[in-house]
Amino acid sequence: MQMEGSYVLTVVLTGISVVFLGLILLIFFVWLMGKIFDAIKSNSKKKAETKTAVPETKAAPASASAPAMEVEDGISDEIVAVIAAAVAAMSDSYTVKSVRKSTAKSSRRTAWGIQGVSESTKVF
Amino acid sequence: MSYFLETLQSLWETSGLCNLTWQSCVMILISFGFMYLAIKHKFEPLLLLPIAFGMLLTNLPLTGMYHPELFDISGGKELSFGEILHEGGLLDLLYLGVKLQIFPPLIFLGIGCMTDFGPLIANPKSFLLGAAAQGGIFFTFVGAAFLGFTPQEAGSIAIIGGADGPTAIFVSSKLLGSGGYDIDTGTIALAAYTYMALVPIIQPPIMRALTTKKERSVVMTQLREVTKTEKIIFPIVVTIVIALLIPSAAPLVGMLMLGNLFKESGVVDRICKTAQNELMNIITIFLGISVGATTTADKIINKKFLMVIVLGVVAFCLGTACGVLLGKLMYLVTKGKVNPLIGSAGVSAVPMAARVSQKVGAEENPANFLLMHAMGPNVAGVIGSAVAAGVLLSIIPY
Repeated sequence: MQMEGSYVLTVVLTGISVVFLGLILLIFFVWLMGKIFDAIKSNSKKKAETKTAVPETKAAPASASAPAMEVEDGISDEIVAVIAAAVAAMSDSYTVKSVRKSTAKSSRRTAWGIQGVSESTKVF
Repeated sequence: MSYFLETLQSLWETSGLCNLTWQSCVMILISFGFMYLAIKHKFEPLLLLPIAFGMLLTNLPLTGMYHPELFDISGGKELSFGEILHEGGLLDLLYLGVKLQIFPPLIFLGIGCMTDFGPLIANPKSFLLGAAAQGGIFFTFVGAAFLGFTPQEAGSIAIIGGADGPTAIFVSSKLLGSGGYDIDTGTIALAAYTYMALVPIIQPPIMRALTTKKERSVVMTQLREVTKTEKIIFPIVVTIVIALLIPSAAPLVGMLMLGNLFKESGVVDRICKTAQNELMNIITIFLGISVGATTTADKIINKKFLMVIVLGVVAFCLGTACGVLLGKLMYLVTKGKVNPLIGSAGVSAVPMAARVSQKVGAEENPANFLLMHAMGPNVAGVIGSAVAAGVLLSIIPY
Protein backbone atom coordinates (compact mmCIF):
# COMPACT_ATOMS: atom_id res chain seq x y z
CA MET A 1 0.00 0.00 0.00
CA GLN A 2 1.55 3.29 -1.14
CA MET A 3 1.08 6.06 1.39
CA GLU A 4 -0.53 9.35 0.53
CA GLY A 5 1.32 12.59 1.26
CA SER A 6 -1.36 13.79 3.66
CA TYR A 7 -1.15 10.56 5.66
CA VAL A 8 2.63 10.82 5.95
CA LEU A 9 2.34 14.44 7.04
CA THR A 10 -0.28 13.51 9.64
CA VAL A 11 1.93 10.78 11.10
CA VAL A 12 4.96 13.10 11.27
CA LEU A 13 3.14 16.10 12.75
CA THR A 14 1.14 14.04 15.26
CA GLY A 15 4.21 12.03 16.20
CA ILE A 16 6.51 14.99 16.85
CA SER A 17 3.87 17.03 18.64
CA VAL A 18 2.74 14.17 20.92
CA VAL A 19 6.35 13.28 21.83
CA PHE A 20 7.05 16.93 22.69
CA LEU A 21 3.75 17.29 24.54
CA GLY A 22 4.42 14.17 26.63
CA LEU A 23 7.94 15.20 27.52
CA ILE A 24 6.98 18.85 28.19
CA LEU A 25 4.33 17.57 30.61
CA LEU A 26 7.08 15.57 32.32
CA ILE A 27 9.30 18.68 32.45
CA PHE A 28 6.48 20.51 34.22
CA PHE A 29 5.94 17.75 36.80
CA VAL A 30 9.65 17.25 37.46
CA TRP A 31 10.18 21.02 37.71
CA LEU A 32 7.25 21.26 40.15
CA MET A 33 8.67 18.38 42.17
CA GLY A 34 12.07 20.10 42.28
CA LYS A 35 10.51 23.38 43.48
CA ILE A 36 8.54 21.61 46.21
CA PHE A 37 11.60 19.76 47.47
CA ASP A 38 13.79 22.88 47.33
CA ALA A 39 11.20 24.71 49.44
CA ILE A 40 11.08 21.85 51.95
CA LYS A 41 14.89 21.75 52.10
CA SER A 42 15.29 25.50 52.67
CA ASN A 43 12.60 25.40 55.38
CA SER A 44 14.32 22.62 57.28
CA LYS A 45 17.67 24.42 56.89
CA LYS A 46 16.26 27.58 58.44
CA LYS A 47 14.89 25.58 61.38
CA ALA A 48 18.23 23.87 61.89
CA GLU A 49 20.07 27.21 61.82
CA THR A 50 17.85 28.74 64.52
CA LYS A 51 18.32 25.64 66.68
CA THR A 52 22.13 25.63 66.45
CA ALA A 53 22.42 29.37 67.05
CA VAL A 54 21.31 29.06 70.71
CA PRO A 55 23.89 26.56 72.09
CA GLU A 56 26.75 28.41 70.38
CA THR A 57 26.26 31.54 72.48
CA LYS A 58 26.06 29.49 75.67
CA ALA A 59 29.24 27.57 74.90
CA ALA A 60 31.33 30.68 74.24
CA PRO A 61 32.42 31.48 77.84
CA ALA A 62 33.53 27.90 78.53
CA SER A 63 35.98 27.84 75.62
CA ALA A 64 37.44 31.23 76.46
CA SER A 65 40.12 29.78 78.78
CA ALA A 66 41.69 27.58 76.08
CA PRO A 67 43.23 28.96 72.87
CA ALA A 68 40.15 28.72 70.65
CA MET A 69 40.22 27.21 67.19
CA GLU A 70 38.22 29.37 64.81
CA VAL A 71 35.80 27.20 62.90
CA GLU A 72 33.64 28.71 60.23
CA ASP A 73 29.88 28.06 60.39
CA GLY A 74 28.71 25.11 58.37
CA ILE A 75 31.82 22.98 58.91
CA SER A 76 30.98 19.95 61.02
CA ASP A 77 33.04 18.70 63.97
CA GLU A 78 33.90 15.55 62.04
CA ILE A 79 35.52 17.58 59.25
CA VAL A 80 37.51 19.60 61.82
CA ALA A 81 38.64 16.35 63.47
CA VAL A 82 39.74 14.89 60.14
CA ILE A 83 41.69 18.03 59.21
CA ALA A 84 43.30 18.18 62.67
CA ALA A 85 44.23 14.50 62.48
CA ALA A 86 45.74 14.96 59.01
CA VAL A 87 47.80 17.93 60.20
CA ALA A 88 48.90 16.06 63.33
CA ALA A 89 49.95 13.12 61.22
CA MET A 90 52.30 15.38 59.24
CA SER A 91 54.16 16.73 62.28
CA ASP A 92 53.55 17.49 65.97
CA SER A 93 54.86 20.99 65.58
CA TYR A 94 51.80 22.20 63.66
CA THR A 95 48.60 23.39 65.30
CA VAL A 96 45.32 24.14 63.64
CA LYS A 97 44.31 27.70 64.45
CA SER A 98 41.30 28.08 62.22
CA VAL A 99 39.22 26.09 59.78
CA ARG A 100 37.42 28.00 57.06
CA LYS A 101 36.21 27.37 53.55
CA SER A 102 38.45 28.46 50.72
CA THR A 103 37.37 31.82 49.37
CA ALA A 104 39.05 31.43 45.99
CA LYS A 105 36.27 31.45 43.45
CA SER A 106 36.93 29.90 40.11
CA SER A 107 34.66 28.38 37.52
CA ARG A 108 37.31 25.78 36.68
CA ARG A 109 37.91 22.73 38.82
CA THR A 110 41.06 22.30 40.83
CA ALA A 111 43.46 19.51 40.00
CA TRP A 112 41.87 17.44 42.80
CA GLY A 113 38.42 18.16 41.42
CA ILE A 114 39.40 17.02 37.95
CA GLN A 115 41.00 13.90 39.40
CA GLY A 116 37.83 13.14 41.38
CA VAL A 117 35.49 13.60 38.43
CA SER A 118 37.64 11.52 36.10
CA GLU A 119 37.88 8.77 38.73
CA SER A 120 34.11 8.55 38.98
CA THR A 121 33.38 8.91 35.28
CA LYS A 122 36.04 6.70 33.75
CA VAL A 123 33.80 3.64 34.21
CA PHE A 124 31.64 4.98 31.40
CA MET B 1 24.55 -53.84 -1.24
CA SER B 2 21.71 -52.06 -3.05
CA TYR B 3 19.95 -51.57 0.29
CA PHE B 4 23.12 -50.00 1.66
CA LEU B 5 23.35 -47.65 -1.33
CA GLU B 6 19.67 -46.72 -1.00
CA THR B 7 20.17 -45.92 2.66
CA LEU B 8 23.18 -43.78 1.81
CA GLN B 9 21.19 -41.99 -0.88
CA SER B 10 18.25 -41.26 1.40
CA LEU B 11 20.65 -40.08 4.09
CA TRP B 12 22.28 -37.76 1.55
CA GLU B 13 18.89 -36.46 0.42
CA THR B 14 17.83 -35.63 3.97
CA SER B 15 21.16 -34.03 4.83
CA GLY B 16 21.63 -30.30 5.03
CA LEU B 17 24.40 -30.40 2.45
CA CYS B 18 22.07 -31.71 -0.26
CA ASN B 19 19.46 -29.05 0.53
CA LEU B 20 21.85 -26.15 0.72
CA THR B 21 20.81 -23.33 -1.63
CA TRP B 22 22.98 -20.42 -2.71
CA GLN B 23 20.74 -18.11 -0.67
CA SER B 24 21.41 -20.15 2.47
CA CYS B 25 25.14 -20.02 1.77
CA VAL B 26 25.05 -16.23 1.41
CA MET B 27 23.07 -15.93 4.66
CA ILE B 28 25.53 -18.15 6.49
CA LEU B 29 28.38 -15.96 5.24
CA ILE B 30 26.50 -12.84 6.38
CA SER B 31 26.04 -14.41 9.82
CA PHE B 32 29.81 -14.96 9.92
CA GLY B 33 30.24 -11.27 9.14
CA PHE B 34 28.04 -10.22 12.05
CA MET B 35 29.78 -12.70 14.38
CA TYR B 36 33.10 -11.18 13.32
CA LEU B 37 31.81 -7.67 14.07
CA ALA B 38 30.53 -8.79 17.48
CA ILE B 39 33.61 -10.74 18.53
CA LYS B 40 36.46 -8.82 16.92
CA HIS B 41 35.10 -5.27 17.04
CA LYS B 42 32.74 -5.76 20.03
CA PHE B 43 29.72 -4.33 18.15
CA GLU B 44 26.98 -4.67 20.82
CA PRO B 45 28.19 -8.27 21.31
CA LEU B 46 25.58 -9.13 23.94
CA LEU B 47 22.88 -9.01 21.31
CA LEU B 48 24.64 -9.13 17.97
CA LEU B 49 26.37 -12.42 18.77
CA PRO B 50 23.17 -14.38 19.60
CA ILE B 51 21.39 -12.66 16.67
CA ALA B 52 24.17 -13.72 14.29
CA PHE B 53 24.10 -17.27 15.62
CA GLY B 54 20.31 -17.37 15.34
CA MET B 55 20.78 -16.28 11.73
CA LEU B 56 23.20 -19.15 11.18
CA LEU B 57 20.87 -21.74 12.75
CA THR B 58 17.81 -20.63 10.83
CA ASN B 59 19.64 -20.70 7.49
CA LEU B 60 21.13 -24.17 7.90
CA PRO B 61 18.66 -26.30 5.92
CA LEU B 62 16.30 -28.82 7.54
CA THR B 63 17.23 -27.98 11.13
CA GLY B 64 13.55 -27.37 11.80
CA MET B 65 14.31 -24.88 14.53
CA TYR B 66 12.29 -21.99 13.12
CA HIS B 67 9.22 -22.07 10.86
CA PRO B 68 8.24 -18.62 9.62
CA GLU B 69 5.06 -20.06 8.07
CA LEU B 70 3.69 -20.77 11.57
CA PHE B 71 3.71 -17.04 12.33
CA ASP B 72 2.40 -15.87 8.95
CA ILE B 73 -1.09 -14.54 9.49
CA SER B 74 -1.36 -12.58 6.25
CA GLY B 75 -4.48 -13.11 4.17
CA GLY B 76 -6.84 -13.44 7.13
CA LYS B 77 -5.18 -16.48 8.72
CA GLU B 78 -5.12 -16.68 12.50
CA LEU B 79 -2.15 -17.41 14.68
CA SER B 80 -2.50 -20.96 15.98
CA PHE B 81 -0.66 -21.36 19.26
CA GLY B 82 -1.55 -25.08 19.34
CA GLU B 83 0.17 -25.58 15.99
CA ILE B 84 3.24 -23.64 17.15
CA LEU B 85 3.49 -25.72 20.34
CA HIS B 86 3.01 -29.01 18.49
CA GLU B 87 5.07 -28.43 15.38
CA GLY B 88 7.37 -25.60 16.36
CA GLY B 89 11.08 -25.97 16.96
CA LEU B 90 13.11 -24.45 19.77
CA LEU B 91 13.42 -21.07 18.11
CA ASP B 92 9.68 -20.98 17.27
CA LEU B 93 8.90 -21.31 20.96
CA LEU B 94 11.45 -18.70 21.97
CA TYR B 95 10.16 -16.40 19.23
CA LEU B 96 6.77 -16.35 20.96
CA GLY B 97 8.36 -14.01 23.50
CA VAL B 98 9.09 -11.54 20.72
CA LYS B 99 5.82 -12.13 18.89
CA LEU B 100 3.79 -11.51 22.03
CA GLN B 101 5.95 -8.51 22.99
CA ILE B 102 7.13 -10.07 26.24
CA PHE B 103 10.91 -9.79 25.91
CA PRO B 104 11.43 -6.08 25.09
CA PRO B 105 9.50 -4.80 28.14
CA LEU B 106 11.41 -7.25 30.37
CA ILE B 107 14.69 -5.90 28.97
CA PHE B 108 13.39 -2.44 29.82
CA LEU B 109 12.77 -3.64 33.39
CA GLY B 110 16.47 -4.50 33.68
CA ILE B 111 17.51 -1.22 32.04
CA GLY B 112 15.34 0.65 34.57
CA CYS B 113 17.19 -1.09 37.41
CA MET B 114 20.49 0.14 36.00
CA THR B 115 19.50 3.70 35.07
CA ASP B 116 20.07 6.74 37.23
CA PHE B 117 17.53 9.40 36.31
CA GLY B 118 19.22 11.86 38.72
CA PRO B 119 20.79 14.07 35.99
CA LEU B 120 17.41 14.28 34.24
CA ILE B 121 15.56 15.19 37.47
CA ALA B 122 18.23 17.79 38.25
CA ASN B 123 17.85 19.37 34.81
CA PRO B 124 14.35 18.60 33.47
CA LYS B 125 15.01 20.74 30.38
CA SER B 126 16.97 17.73 29.12
CA PHE B 127 13.61 16.18 28.25
CA LEU B 128 13.40 18.64 25.34
CA LEU B 129 16.64 17.30 23.87
CA GLY B 130 15.39 13.73 24.35
CA ALA B 131 12.23 14.68 22.45
CA ALA B 132 14.06 16.55 19.65
CA ALA B 133 16.31 13.60 18.88
CA GLN B 134 13.19 11.56 18.14
CA GLY B 135 12.72 13.83 15.12
CA GLY B 136 14.99 11.37 13.30
CA ILE B 137 12.29 8.71 13.64
CA PHE B 138 9.57 10.78 12.04
CA PHE B 139 11.68 12.33 9.27
CA THR B 140 12.89 8.86 8.30
CA PHE B 141 9.25 7.79 8.15
CA VAL B 142 8.84 10.36 5.37
CA GLY B 143 11.87 8.96 3.51
CA ALA B 144 10.59 5.39 3.81
CA ALA B 145 7.15 6.45 2.61
CA PHE B 146 8.64 8.05 -0.51
CA LEU B 147 10.64 4.91 -1.25
CA GLY B 148 7.41 2.96 -1.46
CA PHE B 149 7.34 1.13 1.87
CA THR B 150 3.99 0.36 3.48
CA PRO B 151 3.10 2.35 6.64
CA GLN B 152 3.93 -0.71 8.80
CA GLU B 153 7.33 -1.16 7.16
CA ALA B 154 8.06 2.58 7.23
CA GLY B 155 7.19 2.79 10.95
CA SER B 156 9.45 -0.18 11.72
CA ILE B 157 12.35 1.30 9.76
CA ALA B 158 11.87 4.76 11.27
CA ILE B 159 12.05 3.47 14.84
CA ILE B 160 15.68 2.45 14.20
CA GLY B 161 16.35 6.20 14.63
CA GLY B 162 15.31 5.84 18.27
CA ALA B 163 18.64 4.03 18.77
CA ASP B 164 16.98 1.67 21.17
CA GLY B 165 17.10 -2.04 20.33
CA PRO B 166 14.26 -3.34 22.52
CA THR B 167 11.97 -0.50 21.36
CA ALA B 168 12.77 -1.25 17.71
CA ILE B 169 11.99 -4.95 18.24
CA PHE B 170 8.81 -4.12 20.16
CA VAL B 171 7.46 -1.82 17.43
CA SER B 172 8.49 -3.93 14.45
CA SER B 173 7.18 -7.18 15.92
CA LYS B 174 3.80 -5.48 16.37
CA LEU B 175 3.65 -3.59 13.07
CA LEU B 176 5.03 -6.45 10.97
CA GLY B 177 3.37 -9.12 13.09
CA SER B 178 0.84 -10.17 10.49
CA GLY B 179 3.60 -11.35 8.13
CA GLY B 180 3.67 -10.99 4.37
CA TYR B 181 6.12 -8.08 4.42
CA ASP B 182 9.46 -7.89 2.65
CA ILE B 183 11.24 -7.02 5.88
CA ASP B 184 10.99 -8.54 9.34
CA THR B 185 11.81 -7.87 12.98
CA GLY B 186 15.20 -9.50 12.48
CA THR B 187 16.06 -7.07 9.68
CA ILE B 188 15.19 -4.10 11.89
CA ALA B 189 17.07 -5.51 14.91
CA LEU B 190 20.20 -6.15 12.85
CA ALA B 191 20.24 -2.60 11.51
CA ALA B 192 19.40 -1.09 14.92
CA TYR B 193 22.11 -2.92 16.86
CA THR B 194 24.75 -2.42 14.17
CA TYR B 195 24.13 1.33 14.09
CA MET B 196 23.97 1.53 17.89
CA ALA B 197 27.46 0.08 17.93
CA LEU B 198 28.48 2.66 15.34
CA VAL B 199 27.26 5.65 17.40
CA PRO B 200 30.85 6.76 18.23
CA ILE B 201 31.63 6.83 14.51
CA ILE B 202 28.36 8.23 13.14
CA GLN B 203 27.73 11.03 15.63
CA PRO B 204 30.97 13.07 16.06
CA PRO B 205 31.23 14.40 12.46
CA ILE B 206 27.60 15.60 12.59
CA MET B 207 28.14 17.16 16.02
CA ARG B 208 31.27 18.99 14.84
CA ALA B 209 29.65 20.13 11.60
CA LEU B 210 26.64 21.68 13.33
CA THR B 211 28.44 23.45 16.18
CA THR B 212 31.08 26.15 16.47
CA LYS B 213 34.25 25.83 18.53
CA LYS B 214 32.85 28.35 21.01
CA GLU B 215 29.64 26.34 21.48
CA ARG B 216 31.55 23.09 21.98
CA SER B 217 33.71 24.72 24.66
CA VAL B 218 30.80 25.74 26.91
CA VAL B 219 31.35 24.56 30.49
CA MET B 220 27.98 23.86 32.07
CA THR B 221 27.21 24.66 35.70
CA GLN B 222 27.13 21.82 38.19
CA LEU B 223 23.81 19.99 38.51
CA ARG B 224 21.82 20.38 41.71
CA GLU B 225 21.64 17.55 44.19
CA VAL B 226 18.58 15.33 43.81
CA THR B 227 16.97 13.86 46.93
CA LYS B 228 16.11 10.20 47.30
CA THR B 229 12.41 11.02 47.61
CA GLU B 230 12.48 12.81 44.24
CA LYS B 231 14.11 9.78 42.67
CA ILE B 232 11.38 7.56 44.11
CA ILE B 233 8.51 9.79 42.99
CA PHE B 234 9.94 10.28 39.46
CA PRO B 235 9.22 6.78 38.04
CA ILE B 236 5.69 6.86 39.44
CA VAL B 237 4.95 10.28 37.91
CA VAL B 238 6.44 9.34 34.52
CA THR B 239 4.43 6.12 34.37
CA ILE B 240 1.16 7.87 35.15
CA VAL B 241 1.73 10.79 32.74
CA ILE B 242 2.91 8.67 29.81
CA ALA B 243 0.40 5.84 30.29
CA LEU B 244 -2.46 8.34 30.43
CA LEU B 245 -1.24 10.21 27.37
CA ILE B 246 -0.11 7.29 25.17
CA PRO B 247 -1.40 3.98 26.57
CA SER B 248 0.43 1.94 23.91
CA ALA B 249 3.77 3.15 25.33
CA ALA B 250 2.82 1.78 28.76
CA PRO B 251 4.43 -1.69 28.47
CA LEU B 252 7.86 -0.18 27.73
CA VAL B 253 7.72 2.92 29.94
CA GLY B 254 5.89 1.07 32.73
CA MET B 255 8.51 -1.68 32.93
CA LEU B 256 11.38 0.81 32.66
CA MET B 257 9.96 2.80 35.53
CA LEU B 258 9.16 -0.28 37.62
CA GLY B 259 12.80 -1.30 37.32
CA ASN B 260 13.87 2.19 38.33
CA LEU B 261 11.51 2.16 41.32
CA PHE B 262 13.08 -1.17 42.39
CA LYS B 263 16.47 0.55 42.27
CA GLU B 264 15.60 3.83 43.93
CA SER B 265 13.33 2.47 46.65
CA GLY B 266 16.27 0.48 48.00
CA VAL B 267 13.96 -2.04 49.67
CA VAL B 268 13.97 -4.77 47.01
CA ASP B 269 17.66 -5.20 46.39
CA ARG B 270 17.27 -8.91 45.60
CA ILE B 271 14.64 -8.33 42.90
CA CYS B 272 16.62 -5.42 41.51
CA LYS B 273 19.77 -7.52 41.20
CA THR B 274 17.87 -10.35 39.53
CA ALA B 275 16.12 -8.04 37.07
CA GLN B 276 19.33 -6.34 35.96
CA ASN B 277 21.51 -9.45 35.91
CA GLU B 278 20.04 -12.95 35.63
CA LEU B 279 16.63 -12.07 34.18
CA MET B 280 18.04 -9.57 31.71
CA ASN B 281 20.78 -11.97 30.61
CA ILE B 282 18.32 -14.81 30.07
CA ILE B 283 15.96 -12.57 28.10
CA THR B 284 18.90 -11.19 26.09
CA ILE B 285 19.84 -14.72 25.00
CA PHE B 286 16.25 -15.63 24.08
CA LEU B 287 15.61 -12.32 22.35
CA GLY B 288 18.85 -12.35 20.40
CA ILE B 289 18.67 -15.88 19.12
CA SER B 290 14.97 -15.79 18.22
CA VAL B 291 15.23 -12.41 16.50
CA GLY B 292 18.23 -13.74 14.60
CA ALA B 293 16.12 -16.70 13.53
CA THR B 294 13.71 -14.43 11.67
CA THR B 295 16.48 -13.33 9.30
CA THR B 296 15.73 -15.85 6.60
CA ALA B 297 17.23 -15.45 3.12
CA ASP B 298 14.06 -13.99 1.57
CA LYS B 299 14.09 -11.16 4.15
CA ILE B 300 17.74 -10.24 3.76
CA ILE B 301 18.72 -10.95 0.15
CA ASN B 302 16.44 -8.37 -1.38
CA LYS B 303 16.59 -4.74 -2.42
CA LYS B 304 14.50 -3.62 0.54
CA PHE B 305 17.08 -4.80 3.07
CA LEU B 306 19.62 -2.47 1.47
CA MET B 307 17.08 0.34 1.70
CA VAL B 308 16.57 -0.46 5.41
CA ILE B 309 20.33 -0.24 5.97
CA VAL B 310 20.49 3.15 4.21
CA LEU B 311 17.36 4.52 5.91
CA GLY B 312 18.62 3.26 9.28
CA VAL B 313 21.77 5.33 9.08
CA VAL B 314 19.75 8.30 7.82
CA ALA B 315 17.48 7.93 10.87
CA PHE B 316 20.49 7.94 13.20
CA CYS B 317 22.04 10.97 11.54
CA LEU B 318 18.78 12.93 11.54
CA GLY B 319 18.14 12.09 15.21
CA THR B 320 21.62 13.30 16.14
CA ALA B 321 21.22 16.46 14.05
CA CYS B 322 17.79 17.27 15.55
CA GLY B 323 19.19 16.88 19.08
CA VAL B 324 22.23 19.07 18.38
CA LEU B 325 20.11 21.73 16.64
CA LEU B 326 17.76 21.99 19.61
CA GLY B 327 20.86 22.11 21.81
CA LYS B 328 22.01 25.10 19.73
CA LEU B 329 18.65 26.75 20.21
CA MET B 330 18.91 26.20 23.97
CA TYR B 331 22.45 27.63 23.82
CA LEU B 332 21.05 30.80 22.26
CA VAL B 333 18.04 31.07 24.57
CA THR B 334 20.10 30.52 27.74
CA LYS B 335 22.81 32.88 26.43
CA GLY B 336 25.52 30.27 26.28
CA LYS B 337 24.76 28.17 29.36
CA VAL B 338 23.93 24.96 27.47
CA ASN B 339 26.55 23.08 25.48
CA PRO B 340 24.79 21.94 22.26
CA LEU B 341 26.87 18.75 22.22
CA ILE B 342 24.65 17.21 24.91
CA GLY B 343 21.76 17.31 22.41
CA SER B 344 23.13 14.42 20.41
CA ALA B 345 22.83 12.19 23.50
CA GLY B 346 19.05 12.46 23.11
CA VAL B 347 19.14 9.44 20.79
CA SER B 348 18.98 6.87 23.64
CA ALA B 349 21.89 4.39 23.10
CA VAL B 350 22.71 4.66 26.82
CA PRO B 351 25.45 5.40 27.83
CA MET B 352 27.29 5.36 24.50
CA ALA B 353 25.73 8.57 23.16
CA ALA B 354 26.47 10.46 26.40
CA ARG B 355 30.04 9.22 26.26
CA VAL B 356 30.33 10.57 22.70
CA SER B 357 29.15 14.03 23.89
CA GLN B 358 31.76 13.90 26.66
CA LYS B 359 34.49 12.89 24.24
CA VAL B 360 33.73 15.53 21.60
CA GLY B 361 33.46 18.19 24.34
CA ALA B 362 36.77 17.11 25.87
CA GLU B 363 38.47 17.56 22.49
CA GLU B 364 37.95 21.33 22.84
CA ASN B 365 38.55 21.53 26.57
CA PRO B 366 39.97 18.48 28.36
CA ALA B 367 38.76 19.81 31.72
CA ASN B 368 35.16 20.02 30.50
CA PHE B 369 33.09 17.15 31.92
CA LEU B 370 29.87 16.96 29.95
CA LEU B 371 29.11 13.33 30.81
CA MET B 372 26.62 13.91 33.63
CA HIS B 373 24.95 16.75 31.69
CA ALA B 374 24.64 14.46 28.65
CA MET B 375 23.20 11.63 30.74
CA GLY B 376 20.05 13.77 31.22
CA PRO B 377 19.12 13.89 27.51
CA ASN B 378 20.40 10.34 27.14
CA VAL B 379 17.94 8.81 29.61
CA ALA B 380 15.26 11.25 28.40
CA GLY B 381 15.89 9.74 24.96
CA VAL B 382 14.97 6.29 26.29
CA ILE B 383 11.64 7.66 27.52
CA GLY B 384 11.28 9.71 24.31
CA SER B 385 11.82 6.75 22.00
CA ALA B 386 9.36 4.65 24.01
CA VAL B 387 6.81 7.47 23.65
CA ALA B 388 7.54 7.74 19.92
CA ALA B 389 7.07 3.97 19.68
CA GLY B 390 3.71 4.30 21.41
CA VAL B 391 2.69 7.06 19.01
CA LEU B 392 3.64 4.99 15.94
CA LEU B 393 1.69 2.02 17.29
CA SER B 394 -1.34 4.24 17.94
CA ILE B 395 -1.37 5.89 14.52
CA ILE B 396 -0.36 3.06 12.18
CA PRO B 397 -2.89 0.25 11.83
CA TYR B 398 -1.49 -3.27 12.21
